[in-house]
Amino acid sequence: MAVDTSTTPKRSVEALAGLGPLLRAALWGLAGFAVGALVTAVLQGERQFTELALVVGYVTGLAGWQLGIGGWETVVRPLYGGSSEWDEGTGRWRYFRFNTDHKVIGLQYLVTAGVTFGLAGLLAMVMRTELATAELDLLPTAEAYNNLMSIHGTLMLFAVSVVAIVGGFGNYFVPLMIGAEDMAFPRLNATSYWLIPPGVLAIIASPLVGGFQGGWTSYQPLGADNAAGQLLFYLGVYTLGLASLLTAINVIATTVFMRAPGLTWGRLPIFVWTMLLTSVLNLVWVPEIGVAMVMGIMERVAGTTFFAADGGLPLLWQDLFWMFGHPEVYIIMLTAWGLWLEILAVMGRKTLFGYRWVVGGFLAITLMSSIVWAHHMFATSADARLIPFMSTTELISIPTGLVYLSAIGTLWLSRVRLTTPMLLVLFSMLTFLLGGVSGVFLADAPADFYETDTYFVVAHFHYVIVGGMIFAWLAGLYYWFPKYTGKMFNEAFGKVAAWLLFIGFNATFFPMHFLGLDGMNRRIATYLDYMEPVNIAISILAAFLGLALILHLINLVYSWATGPPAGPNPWGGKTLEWETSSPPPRENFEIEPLVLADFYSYGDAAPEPGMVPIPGVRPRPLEPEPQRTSLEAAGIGAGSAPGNPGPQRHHPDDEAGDHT
Amino acid sequence: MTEQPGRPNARRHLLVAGLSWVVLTVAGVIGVRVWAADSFPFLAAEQGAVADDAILFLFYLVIPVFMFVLVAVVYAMIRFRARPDDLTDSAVQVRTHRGYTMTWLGTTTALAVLVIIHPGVTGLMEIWDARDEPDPLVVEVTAQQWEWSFTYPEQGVENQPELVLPVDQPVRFVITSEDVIHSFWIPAFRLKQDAVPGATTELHITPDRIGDIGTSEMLRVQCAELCGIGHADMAAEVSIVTAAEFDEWVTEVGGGQ
Amino acid sequence: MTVSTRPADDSSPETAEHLQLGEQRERRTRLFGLALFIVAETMIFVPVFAIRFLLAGTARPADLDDGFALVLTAVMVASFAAMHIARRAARRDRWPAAAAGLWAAAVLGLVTAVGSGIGWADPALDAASDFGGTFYLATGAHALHLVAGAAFVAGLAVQARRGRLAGGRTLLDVAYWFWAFLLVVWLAIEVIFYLM
Ligand code: HEA
Ligand code: HEA
Ligand code: CUA
Ligand SMILES: [Cu+2]
Repeated sequence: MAVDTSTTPKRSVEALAGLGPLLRAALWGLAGFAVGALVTAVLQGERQFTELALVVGYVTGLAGWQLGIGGWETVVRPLYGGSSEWDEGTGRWRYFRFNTDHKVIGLQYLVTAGVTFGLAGLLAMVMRTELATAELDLLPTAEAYNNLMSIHGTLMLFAVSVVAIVGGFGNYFVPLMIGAEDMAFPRLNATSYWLIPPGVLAIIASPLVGGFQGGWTSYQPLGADNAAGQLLFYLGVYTLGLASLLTAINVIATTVFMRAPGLTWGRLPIFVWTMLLTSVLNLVWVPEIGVAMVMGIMERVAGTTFFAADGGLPLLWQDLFWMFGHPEVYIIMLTAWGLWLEILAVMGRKTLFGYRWVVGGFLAITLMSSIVWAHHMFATSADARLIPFMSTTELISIPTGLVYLSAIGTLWLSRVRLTTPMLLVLFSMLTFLLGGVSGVFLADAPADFYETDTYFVVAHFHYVIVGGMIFAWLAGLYYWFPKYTGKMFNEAFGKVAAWLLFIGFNATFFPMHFLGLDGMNRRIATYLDYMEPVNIAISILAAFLGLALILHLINLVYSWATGPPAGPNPWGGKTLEWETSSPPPRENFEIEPLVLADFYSYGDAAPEPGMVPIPGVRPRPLEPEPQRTSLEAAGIGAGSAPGNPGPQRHHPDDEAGDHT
Repeated sequence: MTEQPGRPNARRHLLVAGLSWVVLTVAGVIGVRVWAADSFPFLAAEQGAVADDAILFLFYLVIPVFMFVLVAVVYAMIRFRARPDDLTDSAVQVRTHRGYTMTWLGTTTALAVLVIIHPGVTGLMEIWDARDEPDPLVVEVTAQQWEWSFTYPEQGVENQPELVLPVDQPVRFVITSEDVIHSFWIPAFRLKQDAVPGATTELHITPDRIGDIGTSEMLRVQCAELCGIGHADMAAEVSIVTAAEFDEWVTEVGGGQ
Repeated sequence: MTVSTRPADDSSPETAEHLQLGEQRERRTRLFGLALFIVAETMIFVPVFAIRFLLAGTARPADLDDGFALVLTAVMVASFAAMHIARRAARRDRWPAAAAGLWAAAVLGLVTAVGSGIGWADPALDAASDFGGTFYLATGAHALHLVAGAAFVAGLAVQARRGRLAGGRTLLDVAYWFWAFLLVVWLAIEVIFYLM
């Protein structure tokens, strides 16, 4: 099924050929689902569609999808001694198939996360419209609202915030920043990306089987009572978690073994540090939440009573969920902090302040994040837990503060080049600060008894996640835009949109603190009349927030199509990704870089950090890569330098690789 | 902004920013006091004051921290601006700074420890003190999808859909659920307690203001844990009445000693 | 593959030494990847075992068929022994023996999985009980690992039959250590669910 795209027939034929693997994946996925579900139903002797059939069908369907997209040729067939020949595609079609280039995978993640973000954001707009009035008027039932709200939260947390930066920038930039030519396990990498679309689809498709009403936390035993859509929540989250886990293995192995010569741990770029520690958290806690999801499935299809009121422990679910759930919030935020510091040093042309302190802070956060989970259960849990978990939670503010120590130390007396990414980082610092501070209010148990499960919490986590992580993601999208597209974006447009975003965001979410204190609990479609005025205001302002995001999207897309060439290093950055062409060639660097100093030193005495050729190995190229042609520039086919080898074929020698 | 920030100006920058920080902190504290004076929602329980006080105290602690970062960022944004294409390095290059780092660490650690002790542990102690109140009125709260019922075992009053409490009388709520997890919350009392199936939890409250939903919408029972379709509507009426009125109500609904 | 993505028309000649370095690095990377994978796997089974004690304490149904479990343990140990033989044979380039060992390991592994499935029918077990639920969870997870692992080992057996393994012996080592891990987990299950 290797498609030959070297000839150039009519566009439609080319499109069909380019989309071949994707179509095949969809077909095999559906077939897998049908076969799995049917066989199960028959074995069970049931005439109707059972929940077990849904689960088995999903699993076989997922297998079919993975094989169809290219897993058959790249993993399974070579494992059994067959050929490992696989066409990785060229141009834009590379993005629609199993491709092992970490840069392709990075962009696949970024675009997928962006689309999912848009979708979940639109759901939020529907929710806000419903919430504008006290009664139920837009949606037919409270159940519909609960379903929307649950899908919004689940997608945002499991498919956007832990995927956008970690999967997108992590894949694209970790190898570049450490001077490697790819990730350690490229096929594993492609496999993990292709788990994302089915995971997202499962969650989106849940309303087809009744949806799930429990929110993104899906507390038990409600989860066992819900419609069958609950199963798709478990399966979807499991699938997305699996993708994170495989990525984590890859990132850690890459960082440990693939660093360029001279790139000691003390010189490791801050963003890579945060990726590494995020991956450690993923590695340890994702399997644990996977167990919880499997238990949730068994509760429905195998008749177990883990979480039932009689015979089980309803609160066990909450412990299992938050043991992962809290580390997850730092999985979301660590890399965002990494981005802040990268951008602050480059845009301020000032030495990064307190590198060791902040890395130590990240380490402390990583360790401590595993011992605070019960602060989500203050109103539930036994008294004996309150003081210990309150204490650890308040103490985690100290290492978090070290991020600000470094950020402010770098910013102060620097030369602030107020570009769009810099502006977004500064905004992110301010909004995350407010969210962090409201976290301190929540961590205080007496105050939390009041605030928990109200809009105060909703305000808190939108401040930290949207204000912290989404802003930083946008900053990264701009900061690295020249690198991954080879183009420059429109600065003026970007800055206006950034201001609009900042204002719209605060206007939307700040009042929610007071709504919460005034007695508005979360996860409701209807409320008492006295809360209506504030809610109307929030709903209207939320539209501005949405508009601001759409403006950013327009800026990015339009600049990608028409922006002027950016050159390899428009910001004067010192990390290695700026030492190669924009976008980088398939193998990233012409020569293996040699690192001579750290990347964050500025000033007259600062040594040049990178890219000195290893003596006697290969000469350093004098010319930058040729610019992309306009035709490629117009599409998403960034990175396909004219001189690059076309379809990358796996050599039969390196078969049956990185999977177990 | 052509000024080259360098050593000579460093002191002035610190001074101006420091002054702005002081001014903004004072303004913030005053602002919170003004807000708290009349905007804290209707409160009707002794123990609820613990939560309000904690919030107020936390405000005083975090405002200086918040303003510090705010000033640093906004000041840098305005005063240290350089042209985007200007690649000159900053004249000041510091890798670490003992004084600044140690002050930072010391202050944040002190703040975090203080927060644990003061509104934290002390607040919990105060809330737990209510358990030792003598002769509490016992109210059994049962949550089920999607309604509340209240039983007063000592008064022989069973399964009431509304909650009636005598003012200034310590109450011991014994809370459980028939099906999924709910959360027992009277906003005017502040404190929540989850209702967990198969277990009982307790909440000790002394209501200290007479009123009902007509007095303030905060005086209502509201389920605060997502429990399915009817979650939003899972509310019940609350009346806080005088002791005499309470006895009257008890006989009215068929109770008696 | 980290090496092979270098452009073929590389102007500087890759010395044999370079290539060897690359291979060594690749081998270390893969084994390290395996170690990470096993850390993750451990975080599956540790919570499962913890939940067993949390829900059911140390109690277990008195009439649970532990004789059958001992048989399964023996099969699992035999499967690992076969894996061990295969690895030794491959080291000495005795490929037919290696292939036979791998086949035996895969089949015996499958037998263990199917066997623990048959054990599920034990009347002493009840999914709705505290013990039964975690029992199914733990043994089910283990059996699924065996099935997936057997598919992988069978692939290696097919390759070994042809006298060579992709990526040298690294993948065989990966399979070996993975099998050792599954053996340890099985022994833990034996102790925690049958013997304690
Ligand atoms: C990016 C994600 C993210 C991050 C980083 C955080 C960070 C923090 N969170 Fe948050 N949180 C969430 C996402 C996040 N949270 C989500 C999604 C929920 C809701 C889940 C749900 O129920 O649906 C939640 C809920 C939540 C709760 C439970 C509320 C409830 O349901 O009752 C609590 C309680 O303790 C809490 C506390 C904190 C604290 C103390 C921090 C701290 O890490 C913050 C530390 C930062 C600062 C304090 C600011 C900077 C520091 C300084 C300038 C130093 C000096 C400061 C001091 C010493 C005070 N969070
Ligand atoms: C990443 C996390 C994230 C993000 C970004 C958002 C974004 C938004 N959220 Fe959400 N939210 C959650 C995570 C998030 N939320 C979670 C976890 C919950 C809890 C669920 C639960 O209780 O279980 C929640 C719950 C929640 C509630 C409470 C529901 C309830 O309790 O009943 C509300 C109510 O107003 C709300 C509103 C919004 C709004 C208006 C936005 C807006 O910011 C959205 C604006 C976005 C758009 C309008 C889309 C436009 C974008 C594009 C077109 C694409 C652009 C792409 C690029 C730039 C690449 N959210
Ligand atoms: Cu009961 Cu919500
Ligand atoms: Cu948390």
